[in-house]
Amino acid sequence: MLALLADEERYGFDIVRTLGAIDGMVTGEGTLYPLLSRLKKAGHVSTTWRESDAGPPRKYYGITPDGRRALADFIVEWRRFTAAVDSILSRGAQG
Amino acid sequence: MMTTSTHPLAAGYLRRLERAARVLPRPQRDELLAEIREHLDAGITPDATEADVRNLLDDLGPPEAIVAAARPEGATALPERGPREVFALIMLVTGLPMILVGWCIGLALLLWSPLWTVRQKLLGALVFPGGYVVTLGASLLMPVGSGPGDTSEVCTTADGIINCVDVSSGSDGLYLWPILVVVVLVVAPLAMAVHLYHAAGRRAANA
Repeated sequence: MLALLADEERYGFDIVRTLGAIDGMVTGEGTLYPLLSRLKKAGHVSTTWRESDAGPPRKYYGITPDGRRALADFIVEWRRFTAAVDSILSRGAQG
Repeated sequence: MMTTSTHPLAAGYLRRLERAARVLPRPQRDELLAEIREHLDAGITPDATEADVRNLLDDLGPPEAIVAAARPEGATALPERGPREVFALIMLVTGLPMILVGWCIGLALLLWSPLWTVRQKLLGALVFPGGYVVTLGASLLMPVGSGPGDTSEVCTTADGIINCVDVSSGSDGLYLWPILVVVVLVVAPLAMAVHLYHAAGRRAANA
């Protein structure tokens, strides 16, 4: 979710639909809203209201410096984790 | 324009969410409802068919699941065990400060608190209605009503339920039966209170 916000601010509907469209990511898109609000509480994202071209103003989410740091940490961890799993899996395939 | 508030399916979904979200603290509930309402507003275009709306709602998932995802937020999801729980137990056990009134306030506090399960609330309500004020007051009448060698029935009323106890006091073990009853009447509510006190603490800590 933070990675999704790394380049641009998005509004809730957009974030949720994008993640929901990725196969195997989420079961209920609605559960992503509590996650967003948790990220906000943790200071990883911030919100601003923007006028939309159609309808009422929308709440846009953007990543904070704290969020960027958390994302960078996560990417490092994730790479390490997938590399470890890959090496075990390939060893298993050989053996 | 067909918006959230006018589309019956979306309105029904929001009502369900609202009902499920009652367990959340106020600010969190309002925020969640606003987000989902916005989602529906953005997702339901004026030319959306019923199938479109149903798909959008299916993708969101059941409202109960959304609320469940919002819940495990540490201590904010459930309040700490506080004076409400302590007062509830004291009033339920003693029935003070006033006969029946104290117990009824205790009962209301018991039912109001989110820290107890339905079973625990039932236990608190049933052991024993009226509190000490009623049960002890009634049981103290027992030995008076049955002299040695008598066979009599002592009835106590608690909340409209009439409990009749056959008091047959023979030559020996004169007051054994009433004493036993008194002990149970004194100990059981205390045990109930201790149990519920710890249950509330555990519930708040695990939230």
